[in-house]
Amino acid sequence: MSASAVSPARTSRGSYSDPRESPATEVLRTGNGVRDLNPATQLSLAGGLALTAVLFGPLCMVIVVTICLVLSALAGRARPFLTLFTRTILILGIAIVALQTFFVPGTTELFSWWLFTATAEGLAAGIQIASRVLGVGASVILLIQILNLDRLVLDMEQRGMSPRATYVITATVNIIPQMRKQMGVIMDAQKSRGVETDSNLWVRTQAFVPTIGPLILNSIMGVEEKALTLESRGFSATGTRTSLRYVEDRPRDKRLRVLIVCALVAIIGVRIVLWIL
Amino acid sequence: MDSVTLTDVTYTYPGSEGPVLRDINLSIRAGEFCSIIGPNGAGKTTLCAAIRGFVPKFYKGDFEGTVRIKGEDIADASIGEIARDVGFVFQNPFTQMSGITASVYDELAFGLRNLGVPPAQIRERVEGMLELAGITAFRDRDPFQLSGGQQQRVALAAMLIMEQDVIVIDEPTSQLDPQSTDDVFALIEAAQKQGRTIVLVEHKMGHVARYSDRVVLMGEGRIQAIGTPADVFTDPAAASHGITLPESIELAQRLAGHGVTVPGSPLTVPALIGALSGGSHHVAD
Amino acid sequence: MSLISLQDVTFSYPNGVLAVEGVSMKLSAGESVAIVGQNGAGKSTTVKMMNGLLRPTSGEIIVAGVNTRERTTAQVSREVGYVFQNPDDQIFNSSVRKEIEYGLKRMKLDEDEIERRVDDAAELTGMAPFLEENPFDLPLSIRKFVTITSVIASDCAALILDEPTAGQDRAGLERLGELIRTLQARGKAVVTITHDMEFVAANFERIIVMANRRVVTEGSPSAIFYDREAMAEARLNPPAVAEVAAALGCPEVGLDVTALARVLTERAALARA
Repeated sequence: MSASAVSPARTSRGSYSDPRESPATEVLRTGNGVRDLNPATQLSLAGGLALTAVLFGPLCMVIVVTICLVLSALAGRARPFLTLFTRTILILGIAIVALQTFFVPGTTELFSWWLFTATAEGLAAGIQIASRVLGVGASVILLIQILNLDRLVLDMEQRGMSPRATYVITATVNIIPQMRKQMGVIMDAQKSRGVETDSNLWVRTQAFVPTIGPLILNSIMGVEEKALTLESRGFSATGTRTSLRYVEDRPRDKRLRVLIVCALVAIIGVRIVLWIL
Repeated sequence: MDSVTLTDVTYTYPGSEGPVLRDINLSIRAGEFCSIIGPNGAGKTTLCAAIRGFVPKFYKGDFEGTVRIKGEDIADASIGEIARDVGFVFQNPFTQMSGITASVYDELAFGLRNLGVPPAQIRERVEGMLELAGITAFRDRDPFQLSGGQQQRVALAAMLIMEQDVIVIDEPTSQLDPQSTDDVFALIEAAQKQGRTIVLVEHKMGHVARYSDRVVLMGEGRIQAIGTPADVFTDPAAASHGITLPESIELAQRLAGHGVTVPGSPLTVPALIGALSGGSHHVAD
Repeated sequence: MSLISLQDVTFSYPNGVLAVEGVSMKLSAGESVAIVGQNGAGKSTTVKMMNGLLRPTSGEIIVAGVNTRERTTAQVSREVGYVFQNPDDQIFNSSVRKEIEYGLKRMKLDEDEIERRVDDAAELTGMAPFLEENPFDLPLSIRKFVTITSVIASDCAALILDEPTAGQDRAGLERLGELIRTLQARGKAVVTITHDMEFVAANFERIIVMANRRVVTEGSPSAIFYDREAMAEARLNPPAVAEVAAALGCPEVGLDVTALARVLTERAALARA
């Protein structure tokens, strides 16, 4: 029987076997240089860019956003990057500038419009905040374009994260579309007995209980079965687990991460010097 | 050798008034295809839960008697340990997907990866199971994008690949169309041919009659009849216990009511046609 | 005038998948119709359009004289009730009575009327003994009857049942058959999607066979179950009596077991003579 065939000698609770030991494992790779960077590298890259934007505000914002755009383009994702960026972060940034300009009190009046007066102090404060939001936003959107969840989870497993933790992460992300689909079925079932779900807000609020109710009850009933099923598929086994794929962490990844750290140290240094001066 | 043995099992769920299982004595041979039938509320699902150890370990309640798997009392084993010998498949395939895999292939590999089976061996076993279950065509598909029937075969295959000796299957086809039902039964039969012991709860009596070695008729928590499909379905007690009969037997009995008696017990419609066209039936004067 | 009428109806899902193509059918008050065919044949999409859950991409659907395009789903479903395959997509109340009342309260009926309807519907479906129980303490086969009862209580003119026989034992099947006949006698139209051909043979007056998104044929059970081509196209097995009679060359008996017995007796007498 297979279950007992696992030798307990190799066990160390919840770890994974080194996938590179076997020729039957495969590298999880997309074929694009930027998207195939190790997830840790991608995270530090985006994190470094965001931190730079926060530290320097308007001074570096254009550079950070440009780097994000260039990296997205290299990843073959320039268009989705731009779409997402202009529809969310850019609008937010403009709104921040506008609000600050008109509502931050100041002495230097730029111009007046209806009840509102634009001040130079407001404009300056707006630009300070908005440039940071733009920089951080661009970094996050870059990450969305280049980071693949499967690779991230796999990398976390390889770095020793417990299988239970990675299971929870993946299952949570995967369950959203499933719940949305089931929600659709439940809403249809409720409509079929006269519950209005697509009218005005008040009507929709009333429909909340009959749609959420079965969704939660179904999930609870499903959880029991799922727990028992996972149990019988060895989920709580304590031995070393097998990976069929692995994510590369190549020397260039490591070099890049060292470079990012060095650059950050330099940037922070410059920032401190600028503050002191 | 007996694969599953229940001795004097009586069980009451917490808070329920009377026992759901009463004095159950049942031995299932290794490699046997044993179907459990009976009306709703007869205790079929609870009997399965007892074999898997969920009763009383998961549901608590008052449990008397012993359940042995391959001769060993499971009273002191954990559900996880029992699961190494007894696999099971529920009615709803949706809840049985791991929820973390993007393809049928990965879904089948999931259990073996947990057990630390070497990669090359996993690949070999997954390929074999895809073939056996007839699901090779959707190996790369997202399990949640499959139809109910395809999903149920994936759920079964994902359990079968664990290679437990006993597989308990609770109403796997109740949501499925005839074609998918046939596919699921073909897979269960293939598992039996590999030497697994099958314990199946099922309402589709035509399929029960065709595939089972033995049928257990439950009613009010007790075993009311046990024997070959022919024995149980032609037992006059069977109809009085609120089950439907395989359609060939149902028709044969109705014909008998009109003076046309068919000898034996035609478990399938072709068998009934054979008996009637061969002239072996007897017509009352 | 027909209660529900589909005129050359086509439906494709937003993702472009074509589900129903050029379907026309009419359903009258007081009749029982079974829609049969493989999964994916277009049966569910068709009945969802009857109930207003889906609007046809082209073609018209007229329910009780009104085009479904001019009504909300909730309005159409007051005429055409639809019992989903899985009762757990619908049930959320803590007692069977509250579950059945829920839709009626939404319709703003007065309390006496609600109580009368709940009791009447529960009597009809045999759910009266379970009214005060928590639905989640009941088995799935009974929960299914709970949802059937809640739709019947809304007193709609037509009732759609999606796979009602799944998981039912003999008692459940008999109760379903009886229910269908009572509803018909009250002038309701009953439409059922099912794979259970014995159930169809025993309880339905008309069969509509669907395959590959279209209606293949329609007619009485005794005609349809002998239509080998249609049965093959929809991948269905006729009920045993039709299969036996066809094999023995006496299709004229239809689905009548007494007539089949008579033919067999006569043949035996001839053989003896």
